[in-house]
Amino acid sequence: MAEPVTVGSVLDAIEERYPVLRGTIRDHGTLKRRPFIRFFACKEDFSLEPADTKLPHEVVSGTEPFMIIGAIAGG
Amino acid sequence: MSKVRVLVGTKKGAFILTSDGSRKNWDVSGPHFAGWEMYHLKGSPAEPNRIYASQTSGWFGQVIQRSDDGGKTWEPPGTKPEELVGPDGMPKGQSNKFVYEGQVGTHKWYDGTQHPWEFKRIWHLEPSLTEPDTVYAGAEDAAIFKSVDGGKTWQELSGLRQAKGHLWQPGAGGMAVHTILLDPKNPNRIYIAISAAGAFRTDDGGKTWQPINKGLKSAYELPDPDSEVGHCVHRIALHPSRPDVLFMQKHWDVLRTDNAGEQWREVSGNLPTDFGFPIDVNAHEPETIYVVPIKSDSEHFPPDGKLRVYRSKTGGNDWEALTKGLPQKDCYVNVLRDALCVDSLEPCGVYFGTTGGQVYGSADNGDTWNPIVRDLPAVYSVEVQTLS
Repeated sequence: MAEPVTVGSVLDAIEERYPVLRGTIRDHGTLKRRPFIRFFACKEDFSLEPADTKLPHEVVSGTEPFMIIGAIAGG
Repeated sequence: MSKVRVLVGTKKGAFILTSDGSRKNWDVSGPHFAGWEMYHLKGSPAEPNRIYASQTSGWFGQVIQRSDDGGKTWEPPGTKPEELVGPDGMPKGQSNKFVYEGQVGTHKWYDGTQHPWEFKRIWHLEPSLTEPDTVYAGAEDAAIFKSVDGGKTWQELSGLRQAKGHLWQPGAGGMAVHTILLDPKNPNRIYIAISAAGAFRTDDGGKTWQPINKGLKSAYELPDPDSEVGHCVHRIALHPSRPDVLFMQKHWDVLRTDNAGEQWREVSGNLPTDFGFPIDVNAHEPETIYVVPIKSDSEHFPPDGKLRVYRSKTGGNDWEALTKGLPQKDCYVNVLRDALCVDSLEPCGVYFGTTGGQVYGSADNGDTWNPIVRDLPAVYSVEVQTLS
């Protein structure tokens, strides 16, 4: 991926590759993270960070994953 | 040989109940979409094997599902690999894309402040009476969308929100277009109802809309007795032979209009309580209507623990309790607004589902009832298709 690799650019790439995931991680239109989805990388919570937040170099190099996790909540 | 197919949306999946015209013995299929909230399923009157379903979840949002074989198999429209493909040939589902058109604007929030419009889910799907690929969707936050390609893509009919949308306010369950009625005699006329904005009508196919709430009294909720919008309409229903006559179950009061909503009058009459959610009309008797009264806005269960459907054969005011086959003690379930319906067999069949997971059916206009299933997850919606 082109630098800088950010929360937003990873999500853009996922949705470009798998268009059917649009609207399931981020809302259509607003691109706001859906409330019961969380983002983690290198043991840090990136859920509340802006989309242009750079991800750690371990994620960029492929050593560590960028995790998109559904909350264990909601009944 | 006649058949009926009852489509049940529940908190944790969808169920399809089928029977022949006797409506005595039932096959139960499901759960379809096990574990997911299925707000509503409805079949196309023009092609009965085409069924649309609204699947929603707090995690991954809205999914529209479609069956073309009467509910045996399902897929989101437009996700076959050969349809709407993106890069690398991956399916490009757009069937969950509900985006408000133009300047999104704001509406009233629970505390009276202004709040931006935010899409949450589709409450109700209404297939066209004549075109299997045309379907309307009622959304929360309140808006109406239309698809003309079988649910693959959706376009907002944004004229609705121009009808004083900034004054609309959510009810306790959210602010949603929960009812869409298509006039069978006039393809340009559609009625909708919103909690808590009121009832609205279009006469130009959905481009422009007007509030039709004159005569509604909401003294506890609205300080201005002449408010055009802001009423909490729970449900409206019509008989296809008389689309100018509508019946309404409001947040308190049962009403009717005989002039397409220009003026409403109360017909609660001798109901034990006129709070409730669903209302529907007998398929063969346009003046016979059904409601399921519940105690109050804070106690959503039948009065005295007795589950009673009330029927009026005079278009309101004079009501009788229908109890044969329904529990008359220790029953504290509710029937939600989209969970009561009628078939068009003779005699008319009436069906309803409860928050306790039962689906009851009557094959004789409501005179007697039997449980079709007793132990489903909480029922959100019940629709029935009459198949010949």
